[in-house]
Parts: sequence; structure tokens; C-alpha cells
Amino acid sequence: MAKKPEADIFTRELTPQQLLELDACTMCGQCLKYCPVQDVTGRPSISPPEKIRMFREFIKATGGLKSRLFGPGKVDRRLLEDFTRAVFECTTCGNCGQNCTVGIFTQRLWPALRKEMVRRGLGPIGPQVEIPDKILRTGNPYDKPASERFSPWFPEQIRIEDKAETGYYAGCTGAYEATPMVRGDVLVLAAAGEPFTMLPAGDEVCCGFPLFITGQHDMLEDLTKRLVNAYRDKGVKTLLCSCPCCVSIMARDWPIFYGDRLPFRIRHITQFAAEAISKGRLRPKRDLREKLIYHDPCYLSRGVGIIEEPRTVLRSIPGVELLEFEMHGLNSRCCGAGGAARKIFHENAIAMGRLTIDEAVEKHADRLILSCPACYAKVNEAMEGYDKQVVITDIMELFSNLIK
Amino acid sequence: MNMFLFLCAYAAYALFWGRLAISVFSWWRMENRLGGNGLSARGLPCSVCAGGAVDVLTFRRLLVANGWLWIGSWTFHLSFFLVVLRHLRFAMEPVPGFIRVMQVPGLAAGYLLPVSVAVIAAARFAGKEQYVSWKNMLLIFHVFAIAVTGLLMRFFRTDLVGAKKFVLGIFSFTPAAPPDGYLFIIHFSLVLLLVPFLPSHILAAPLVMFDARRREKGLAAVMHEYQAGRGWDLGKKA
Repeated sequence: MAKKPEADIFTRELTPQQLLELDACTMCGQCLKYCPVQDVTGRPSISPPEKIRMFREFIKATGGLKSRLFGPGKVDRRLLEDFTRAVFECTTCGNCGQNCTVGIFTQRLWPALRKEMVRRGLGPIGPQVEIPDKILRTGNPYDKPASERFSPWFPEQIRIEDKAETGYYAGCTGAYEATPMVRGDVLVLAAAGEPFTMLPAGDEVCCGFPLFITGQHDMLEDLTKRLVNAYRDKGVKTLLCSCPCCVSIMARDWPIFYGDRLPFRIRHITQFAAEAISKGRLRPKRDLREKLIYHDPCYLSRGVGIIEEPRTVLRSIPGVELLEFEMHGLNSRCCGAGGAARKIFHENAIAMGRLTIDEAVEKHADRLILSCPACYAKVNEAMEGYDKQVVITDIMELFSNLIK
Repeated sequence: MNMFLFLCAYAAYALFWGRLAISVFSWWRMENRLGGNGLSARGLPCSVCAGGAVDVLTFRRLLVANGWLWIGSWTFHLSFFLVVLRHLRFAMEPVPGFIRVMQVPGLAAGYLLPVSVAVIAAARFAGKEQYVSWKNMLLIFHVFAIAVTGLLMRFFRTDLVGAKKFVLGIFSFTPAAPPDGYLFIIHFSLVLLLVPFLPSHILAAPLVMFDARRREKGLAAVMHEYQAGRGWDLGKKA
């Protein structure tokens, strides 16, 4: 009797925990009210439970009881393409999972499903396909020269140590698309009197997050080992970073790709600033009589639990009145910049960014404080040509101006 | 009719275990890769066990998400459990003391069961979040039909002795005639149809709730309490 062909099952890229999560979804639909893509598209066909339902069907068709008894069924290509589009349209903000009635960790589930679609040649989408080549060529996903990574934003008067216990990783999006943010970071470091080291521009390559989030994992191990070993050789014990996506992948996933615990700890720049403020090493020299509204980035709040430290920094500024979004902290609403989707699903991202602006204006905030370079770039873009305007400032950009 | 029902009962039972076995087998054969949730708390600390138990028993996350759906869902699950406990009198001879004690609560639960299912359906359709999975709705309707037919047998008396002989016959492989009346046949058939299609989230959801607590506890270790070599778990190596 001819041997049955082995089914190309859909669970290859999942962990056992993730398979359980797919099973655990009760289809209650409560996550829809937290999904920012639903807010701007109103399409349940790309909602979290629908993505799970579709993927379950794929698993059943190739690995369920019927397929084991009678051979794997064929999965309709059009359904696969619909699913791929749905899973890549997601911003991976994770708010669905944060509020899931059974606790599914969607911020890691969606990237795993994307990885499966990439394995099948169905993803990633559009220009995401070029990300690995760009990183190979230039060390960043923006295809910009490494020589421009730290120039012209890096303050000339600030010294970078050859070796130090504190390392600073600027990150690609900060260095190329949100320079006031990374400039603010190093000014704060210098003001606190903290000696720090950085890798040369050619060596500070992408942390791997754009590859991770688009399901293209081939280079991740190499990139991680390269960066971890480089910082280790510089004597780094604490690596500071300001991009929440970088911080999230470094803290959660680098140990996995590195194959061991990291030789240094990862800290967000606001953690450093909050600690420096508490020890008297940093103090604003000027008042700021403004109403500030702080937006929690998805990968900072839900991703790594940094919620209080940015608020500590802002409250340390005399005269500031700190406002909160209706959905803040762990339930923060996505500004639209996440999931490597902001350039492909541009209209979604702009619409989400404008919802953020709307609420800031509605609450009469003088300034919208952001703490993520992707949010910074996209929300600024969303404000172009929009009838509602609010001043947008990065948290370290603001703080560094007040401690001079 | 007897033999047909008997064979259906055994087929439903076999299908249930077959489906469960395939799920467990597929899960067990998966590559135990690193990744997924990355870091989480090591082992199962007491706080995680206690918190997870609270989440599972009280449906805490659902309460936070939707109060009305929580009322319907929690009442449904509790009622279903009490009704099943009460029904064990048909499958056991002599009937143990704890089953006798459950008769009155089980009876009250039987009245509550269809009401709770109706509340679930209403909460789902009334909500702003209009996600309606046809399979989910079919299951809700199916359970409602089981509950209503069961309740109707209180008013259109069924031969309980005959029902018990019939059920005990299934367990002892000695076919007996089902009691007269279409209600019993309909009710029994609906239950048989449900058994192999019991939603798998019944088993997976509690485990995921515990894992979510572990992950939340581990979150503090990710950026706040990190100390090299202590406090958190990388998971098993692939």
C-alpha cells in the first residue's frame, strides 16, 4: 500500500503553548472592542477571533481527525491569502490579548502565525519582503547608509567611552526617523553624568525586530549574537534603549536567539531617567506650565511592563499637569504605527494616529508626549493636513530641554 | 431503535476520545521550541496557582470584559455542572450520598440553565463587538435545546426507572429499551450529538489562564527584577 504523503501541517512554527492558545479561544468576541484595526476598518473578517478561527480550520484540514484517517485536505489558496492579509494588517499591539477572557498572548501569537505564512511563501507583504536584504546591505531596514546613523543628530560635545558598564543602543527608527528622540536620550545620559559606550555606526545594526515581526527569522540568530557579543566585549552590564520594540525583543526574545541568558540587563531610557531623578542626579531646571498627555507605546506597556517610569519622569517637571488617555497603561490604544504595517496599511495607520490626536485635543492637552520612534514618526505624519493639531514631543526630547 | 441508540452512544463516546487523542498527540509531537511567550515565571509559584485558580473558577477576565456575558456564562457553567452531577443518579446504582444531596441544587440549576444560555446569546448579539461565529451560535442553540428538552421532561413525565435501566444498560453492555416518549429520545440524542463536539477550549482555556498568570508574574522579571541566573525561566531548549 502506498505511503500517505506527510501533511504539511500548520503548526510547525508554533510552540505547544501557542497551539493551546489557539484551542483556548472561546470566540467570545470581547477582544473586538480593544482592536484598533477594528476601530478604523469595522471589518470583523480581520478581527482576532476570525484570524484564530481561520487558522484552526487550516490546522484541522491538515492535522485533524478526518485528515489523519482519510488524508490531508486541500486548503483553499484564496482563504490562505485572505488570512495572510488579515494577519499582516494587524498592528500586533496586543490589546486583544491583554483583555482576552482566557489570557491568550497575542503579541507573540500573531508573529508566529505570520512566520508560518512566510514559510509557505504567502508572506510577508509588499516592501516587507525587502527588509532582510536592506538589513544585510546597510544594517537597517530603511536602506540608509550606516554613516548617517548617528549623524547629524549626535551632539558633538558628548563623549562616548570605548568601554563602559552602561551601553546605549540608538535603534534604527530612532536614528533615522525620530532623531529628536535619540538626541534627547544621549543628552539625558550626559546630564546625569553617566559614562556610556555605543557601538560604531557600522556595527550598531538592526536589533531584529522588523524581521521578527514580519516572520522572517533567518537572520535573527546571527544579528542577536553579533550585537550581544559586541556589547559584552565593551564591558556593558546595562544596555539602555529608547525604542519599545527594540527593548521588547531584546528583553524577551534575544535570550532565545542568543541561546543563553544575556550577559547584561536591558533597561528602557525612562527607567534610567526615573532612577537618576530619584537619586538627585537629574533635575529639571525650568518649569513647564503645560498639560501633558502621555501615550503608552504598546510594546513598552504591554510588551515589557514599563508604565510608571515615564510618568515619574513627567511628574518630576514642576508645573506640569499630567493627563491620561481613556485607554492607558496596559490598555493603551495603539497609535497605528506597529506591526511593520504602517507603511503598507498606510490609511489604517493614519486613521489610528488621528484617533490619538483627537483624544489629546479633546482633553485640551497642550502637548502629546510619545515614547516610541515609530509612534513619533507616524503620529506626526497623521497630523499633516489634519484639522486638529497638537504639539508632539518625545519624552526624552522634552526632558533634555528642561535639564539644560 | 434500542440498538441504534446504543450504537450511537458508543460511537459518540469513541469520537470524543478519538478527537481528544488526536489533539493531545498533535500537541505532544510538536517541537518543544523556545520562543512564543519568551520569559515567564519559573515553575508554578503559589501566587500563580492561586491567581490562576481564581481566574478559572470565577471567570475573572470575562467579568472585566463584559459583565452581562459573565453573568450568563458563569451561571451556565455552574448550572451545567450541577445538572450533570444530578444526572449521575442515572448512571450509578446504588446512588452515592453526595449525588442524593445534589438533587435539589441540581433541579434548581436545571431551571437556570436555559435562562443562562439565553443571557449569553443576548449579551453576544447586543454587544457592540459584533463577532458571531456560526459554530459558536450553533453550539449555544444546541445546548439551549438540551436544557429545554430536559426541563420539559419535568412537566411531561418520563419513566425515570426506565431511563435509568436504559443508561445503566449502556454502561454494562446490556441493551435495555428506552423509556416511552419522544422527549427522552430527543434529549438523549441531542446529548449524544454534543459529546463528540464538546468545545476543546474546556480543557485548553484553564491551562492558558494559568500560563497568563505565569507570564504576568514573569513580566516584572523582564525589566524590573532581572538578575542574571535567577527569577525567571527561559523554557526548555529545542
